[in-house]
Amino acid sequence: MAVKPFLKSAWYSAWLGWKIETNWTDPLTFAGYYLLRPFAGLLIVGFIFLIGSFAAGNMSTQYFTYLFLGQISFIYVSQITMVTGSLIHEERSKYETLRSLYVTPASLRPYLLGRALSAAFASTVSMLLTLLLGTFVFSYALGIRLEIDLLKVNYPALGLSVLLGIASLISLGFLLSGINLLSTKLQFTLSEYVSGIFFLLGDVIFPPSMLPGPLNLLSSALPITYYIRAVRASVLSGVWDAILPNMAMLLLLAIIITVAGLLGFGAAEKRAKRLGILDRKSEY
Amino acid sequence: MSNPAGAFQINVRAAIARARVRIKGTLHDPVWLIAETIIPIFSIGGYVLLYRALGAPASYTGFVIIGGAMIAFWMNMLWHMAAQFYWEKEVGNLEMYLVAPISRMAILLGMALGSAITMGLRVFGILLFGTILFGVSLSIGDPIALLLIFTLTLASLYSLGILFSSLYLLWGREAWKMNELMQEPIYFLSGFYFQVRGNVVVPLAMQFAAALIPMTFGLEGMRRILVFGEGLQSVAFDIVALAVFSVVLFFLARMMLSYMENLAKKEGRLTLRWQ
Repeated sequence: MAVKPFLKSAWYSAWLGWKIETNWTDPLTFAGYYLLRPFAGLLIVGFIFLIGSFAAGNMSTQYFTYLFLGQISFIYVSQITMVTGSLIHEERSKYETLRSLYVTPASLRPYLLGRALSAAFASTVSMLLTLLLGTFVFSYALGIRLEIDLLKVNYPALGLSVLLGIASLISLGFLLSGINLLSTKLQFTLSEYVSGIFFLLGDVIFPPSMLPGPLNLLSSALPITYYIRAVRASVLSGVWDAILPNMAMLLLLAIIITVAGLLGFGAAEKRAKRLGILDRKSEY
Repeated sequence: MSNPAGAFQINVRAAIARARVRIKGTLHDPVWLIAETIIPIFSIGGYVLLYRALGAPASYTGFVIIGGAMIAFWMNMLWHMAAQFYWEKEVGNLEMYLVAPISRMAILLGMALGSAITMGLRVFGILLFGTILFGVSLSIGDPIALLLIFTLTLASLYSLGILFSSLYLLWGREAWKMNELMQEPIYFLSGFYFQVRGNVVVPLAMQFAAALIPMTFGLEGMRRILVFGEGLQSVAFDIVALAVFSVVLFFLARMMLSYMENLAKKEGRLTLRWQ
C-alpha cells in the first residue's frame, strides 16, 4: 500500500478513535474520566510509599520522586495497551465492523495505527492532568517534597524519550491485536496482563535489581524499562551522558518490536483467515 | 405465572442453566485458566516488591496478596456481571431473556453463581502461587469466620453487580466508562493493597468514604483472619456490615432492575445496540 493513502487512513482512524473515546460525554466529564483512573493509580503507589515508609520509620523523598516519575510515565503504557488490547474485540463483537474494515482497501493496519495514535493523544491528556494534580496533592497536601528542578529538565530529550516510548507501545499494540485475532477469551484481560508484566519488570516503582536473576535479565530486554529510565534521566539529571545510553537502547528495542509487531500481526491475520476465525465471536 | 411453585422451579432451572454456560465457557480451556491464575501475580508482585524496597514489615505483603486475589472477584463483578446485560443486548440475547417466562434476577443470579465458582478456583490459585512465590505466610485462624466473611463478601459484591447491571438496560458507553472508573479508584479507596480502617496515615475522610464500599469490610476481615490469625470476635463488625450490605443491595438491585427495565422500555432503549 502506498504511503500517502496509508497515512490518510491512519489519520481518519485516529479521528474516529478520538470521537469514540470522547463523544459519549461533555468535555468536563471526559477530563474527569481521563484523570481519575491514572490519578488513583498514583495514589495507590503514593499511599503504599507513605504507609510502608511510616512502618519502616524511614522516608526517602528521593525514592518517592523515583516512583512518582515511574508511575506518571507508566500512564502511556497502561492506556495504550488498554486500547490496543481490546480494539479487535470491540470491532469484532461490540460494533461488528471488523469484517467491513477488513474488506476496505486500507484493511486493518492503518486503522490500528490510527486508533493507537488517538490513544496516545488521550494518554498525554491523562498524563498532564495527573502530573499537575499529583504534584499538588503530594507536594502541598501531603507534604512530600518532589526532588525535581524544572530548570534542570532536558525537555528535548524528554520529548524524544516519550515519542520513542509511544512508538514501542503502538508496535506492541499490533502484537496484542494479533493475539486477539486468534483468541476470543482475552479481550478484557490481555491489556491488564501485559501492563501488569511491564509494571513488575519495567523499573516503574522499584529497581529491577530486586528481581530474581532471570526476571532482571528480562527487564533489561524490555523497551518500557529504557523508556522509563530515559524519562527519569531527562527530568532528574538532564545530562545527555545519563540519557543517551537509555535512549539508544530504547531506539534499538523500538525498532525490534516494530518489526516483531508487524510480522506477528501479519502471521496472526493469515492464521485467523486460514482457520476461518477472523470474525469469530463467543459469549459466556 | 399462576403457580408460584412452578415459577420458583423454572427460575431455579434458568439460574442453573445460566451458571452452567458461565462455568463451561470459562473452564473449557485449561491453558487459559492457568494463564488467568498465574499472570495476575505479576502486577501483585510490583506492590509486594515496593513494600520490600521500603523495608515495610512482612505482613504488609500479605495484604497485597489478599487484595490482589480479591481483585479477580471485583473485576468479575464489573465485567462479567454488571456489564453482561450490555453484551447480551449487543449479541441479541437480551430480547430472548425478556420474552422468556423467567425473572431477570434468575439470569443474573445464575451468572453470579457461575462466576463465584470459576473465580473461586482462580482466586485460590492466585493465593497459593502468591504465598509460595513471595514467601508470605497466611494462616486460617478461624475457618468459620473466614467462610462467613468470604460468602458475605461475594453476596454483597454480586448484589452490587446486579444493581449496576440495571444501568446497562438504559445506557451504553456511559455505563461502560463508569465500570472502567470503578477499577483503580476503588482499589485505592477500598484498600486492596493496604489497611484503610484505623490506619494513622490514611485521612479520616478517606476511611469514611471507604466504608461505603462492601469490599472494604471483606478485605479487612480477610486480612485479620489470614494475616493476623484473628477470630470471629474481631471480625464481627465486618460480618454485620457485610450482611447489611448484602440484604440492602439485593433489594435495591431488584427494585432498580425493575425500574430501569420499565424506563428503558418507555424510552425505547431496551434493545438499542451500539450506544
